[in-house]
Amino acid sequence: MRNRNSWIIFAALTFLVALIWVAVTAVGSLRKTTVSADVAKAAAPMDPTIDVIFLKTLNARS
Amino acid sequence: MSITDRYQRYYTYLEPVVADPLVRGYFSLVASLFLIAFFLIFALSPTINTILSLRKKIAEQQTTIAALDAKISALVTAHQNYLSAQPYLPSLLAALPDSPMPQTATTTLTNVASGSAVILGTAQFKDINLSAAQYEKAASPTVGFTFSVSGTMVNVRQFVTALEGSRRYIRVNTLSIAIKDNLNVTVDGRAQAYYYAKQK
Repeated sequence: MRNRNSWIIFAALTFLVALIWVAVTAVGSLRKTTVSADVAKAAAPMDPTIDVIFLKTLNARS
Repeated sequence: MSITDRYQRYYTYLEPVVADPLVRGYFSLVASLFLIAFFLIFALSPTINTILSLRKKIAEQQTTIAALDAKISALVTAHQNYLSAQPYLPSLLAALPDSPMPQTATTTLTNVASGSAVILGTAQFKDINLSAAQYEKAASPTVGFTFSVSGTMVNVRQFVTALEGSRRYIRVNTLSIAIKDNLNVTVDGRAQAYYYAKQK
């Protein structure tokens, strides 16, 4: 009886470890980004405005 | 001797074990758990990972495409803004040259002094990095200089104001004033002319 229980516990623990394995690898694949650093740099937002008023002020300086 | 007779003893050993109803019930349970665990690790896990990584890749690529579209329209707007600001760029380059350009600082100093009717006694520049390798790595992109002018208080004040308002971007850091007589003063100053070196 005791030997039988050990087998059940061993099988249940194996199943649990397999479940945790699947969960951990799934979370790992979700966290891993597929965008390369170069693409991320190219896609970084930029502000297209140029302070023309400041340039005009600068131009007016003698 | 038949095959059944030959392996008779194995059946004999397994028979009492298999005959036990508890063993029959638990064996299927234990075997199922092991089988599910095996398939979880070697079949289900790679499939789930592939599905999740593909979904993430699609979402990230859609985000990247949207960001790149926004960047392209921003670049078009920036180009139009640059074209409209192009006439003012020489003034910007004069205010912040891309190298130390001590000669323009000197010209500014002498022109402002003569324009303000003060006498420029001394002007001293020191530690100017003239090679691109040095000034591009400089921690402070400035050309420091000291000067000494003498004239009336009004003219000296005008000189300092005009120096800070000149085309070359110059900031006066310190001033020490010595009164010569009732009208004239001598001013020793320390100032910095800025430049904008491209960082490599």
